[in-house]
This record gives sequence, structure tokens and C-alpha cells, in this order.
Amino acid sequence: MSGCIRDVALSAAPAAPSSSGSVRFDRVVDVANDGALMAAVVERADRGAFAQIFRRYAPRVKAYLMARGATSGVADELTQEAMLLVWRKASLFDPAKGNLATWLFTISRNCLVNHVRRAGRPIPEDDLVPDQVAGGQATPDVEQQMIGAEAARLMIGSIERLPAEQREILVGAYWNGKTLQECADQARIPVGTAKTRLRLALVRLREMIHARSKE
Amino acid sequence: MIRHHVPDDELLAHAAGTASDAASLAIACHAALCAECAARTGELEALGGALLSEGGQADLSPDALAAVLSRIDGPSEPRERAAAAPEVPELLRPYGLPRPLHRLLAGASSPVRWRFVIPGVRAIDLEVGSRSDAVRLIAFKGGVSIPLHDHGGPEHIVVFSGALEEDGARFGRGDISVREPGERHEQRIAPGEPCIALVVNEGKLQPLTLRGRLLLALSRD
Repeated sequence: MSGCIRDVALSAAPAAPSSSGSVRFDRVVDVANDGALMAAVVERADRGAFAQIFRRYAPRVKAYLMARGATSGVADELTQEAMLLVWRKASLFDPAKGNLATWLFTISRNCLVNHVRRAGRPIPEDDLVPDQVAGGQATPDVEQQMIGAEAARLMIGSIERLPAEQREILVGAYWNGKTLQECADQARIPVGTAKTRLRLALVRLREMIHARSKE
Repeated sequence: MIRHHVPDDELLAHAAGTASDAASLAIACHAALCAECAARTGELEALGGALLSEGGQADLSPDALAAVLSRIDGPSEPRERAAAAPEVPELLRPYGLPRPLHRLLAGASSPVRWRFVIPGVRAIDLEVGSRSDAVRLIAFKGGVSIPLHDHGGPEHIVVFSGALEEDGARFGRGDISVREPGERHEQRIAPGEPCIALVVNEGKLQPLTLRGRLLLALSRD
């Protein structure tokens, strides 16, 4: 496993009773044993394994939700909802097909979107959780082309090595919920340039993943 | 073979969760039939996961873990139950509709059936998006033409069966057509078999011909 990744979520004091809502910035999490922890949840209903997953990811899920505009209270509620879905739907997660961070990102994103929608029509809980085992896709050859678990893992730690102007677009889109047009307006560049930066960021990430997979 | 894909910026918004519900449904339907866009979506979601791993941490309330543990009422759901997908209504089974539509159709508040719109065009309204969005499955008879029009908002069309033609391009199963306001077009359904498509309009259609205005006035919408 790559030595540059270390686990701070576990070593940091978990859920310290401080002013809730403040955001800490730490290094990336160690995702190496996520699969084993999830298997323990599915096979043995292991609450200890779940607690480790919770301490590792829940503070990050909350930080994401708050960056997307949720208040601390709403973010607490949605983080609980997302983590509860991780337990309930754990059998839909397949570590061979993707990493836990990606799965949890999609669940948190869906919980957030669902919360914003709730004034209108709520969507069924089942629609919040992607089925990684089936891939959720109609064409059988899709799985080979989906980004694999290893590539997804290698993507972690690669984003910080992107040029700042490319990172800015990604953070604007994912964390601040901006459209590419809004990202462009903020950076005072034409939207075409923002699109180019997005494309270059993806190309660069693919190159880095490719290079790191050979290390 | 799929020729018409989702543009980068739209796929990014879909993966980041900032696209409208209506547009996201169309994009998800396309990605369910298009290996390339499914892979691109997977990559963009992995990017979201990497950002989650690298991003900051917010302090949780001290009893957060205990609160979640207290809500756990049994083991994880068995895979069969967790992955169960409802059946598509009988009348739609021949068209190989993608998975994102299945639950939506199964959860419809009224019985799913085709309603007459204008001669050669029938529709099933889907309960997605805001009230001003028109999200429909449409069955066009082969050879039907849609006169020149503009749009009051974005338009997404995903074809499931048959084919639609516009500006010399052909949109067959799985293809997606994305149009913004100001992009005028006229379309024709390929002669022969009917065309079944998801048609999403986040704004009113603006017919630009007399025939179009007449058809819109006559349509039971």
C-alpha cells in the first residue's frame, strides 16, 4: 500500500465535543481495510467494524454536506441517515468494483439532493444507494470499463497534485455545488476555458493513476 | 451503437449532484444504456469519493455514533432484498426501459397508461422535477414530424426504441439529444416502427411555425 497515505481519522480524537460545525483539514484517510470492515458488517453484523467506518468517514461526510450549504444541524441529521444506509445496504457494496469513499460520496450526495427535494416528492430510500454489485447498468461489458477499485483508491491523494486552477473547478463543482458556468464566472474565465480545465484535470488524474499503479 | 453522448459539463453536474432532477433522470437513463458514459460517470463519482477522502472533517455531535447505533434494528439487508427492483408495467415491457425508470413507473401515483396528445403522439407523464418541468415517456408513430421550435429551458431526449432524426443525424436506442434555449430544431421520427423516448423539457416549447402553434393548441397537455 502506498506509504504516503495515513489514517488520521482514527488517530484523531473521534467526535470531540467541541463547537459543532467547525471544519478541520487533515490528510487523507487510509482506505486499505475498508473492504474488510464492510465484509464484517455484512457477514457478522459487526458494530465495532461499523464504528470504525463511522469514525473514519462521518466527519468527512458532514464537512461535505456543510460545504454544499447544509446547516450543522441538517448535516448531522443527513450524516446519520447516510451512515445508517451504509449499514442497511452494506450488501450492495462490492470492494472489488469500487471504493467505499466513492460509494459513500454517492449516498451522501443523494441524501442531500433528496433532502432539498423533500418539500416536493420524497424518493424511496432504495434509490439513494447505488448497487455496486450489479453495477446498476444494463450492458454487461460496462463493468470492465468502470473505474476499478484500485484506480479509485489511487485517485485519492492525486487531486492535491493537480494545478490549482484545475482543482478550483473540481472543488467549485463538487463542494460548492456550482455549475461550470458559475465556476467560470468566479474565476473570471470563459466557460469554454472552465470546460478545458475540467477535461485536463481528468486527463491528468488518469495519467497519475496510471503512473502510480505501476509503482 | 450509441453515437450521441452527454456533454462533459452536464455529466459533471449529474455526478456532483447539482443537475436538476429532470435532467439527471435523462442522463441516468442514457448512462444505463451507454457503457462509455457509465464509465465516465463512474470516474466522476470516484473523483467525488477522492475529494471526500481528502477534504476536511467537521465535528459531529458527541452522541452521533451512539445515535446511529441505536437506530440499527438488525443485520444488514440480504442482498436480494436490498437490490430488489420493481417490475415495469406490462405495457412498457417490450421497450427495454433502463433501470432508473423502473421504480419511478412502479411508484406512480396513478395507473400507468398512454394518453392521447395529438394524432401520432401518445404520452405517459412522469412525476419528476418541479411543476414547470414536463417529463414524459412519449410514443411517436413512425414518420411523424415535429415542426421547427425553440425551448424555454433545457431539453433532453433519450431514445429507447425506434429512431428520431434531426439535421441529418439519427438518434437510436440509447442516444441522448441535449438542447439549450435558443437552439431551434425540427425533428422527424424515422418511418416505420414507432419511437419510444424519454422527453424532458424544463421550460415550455416555443413553436416557430403556424403548424406547430396549431398542434400545440390542439394538444391535450
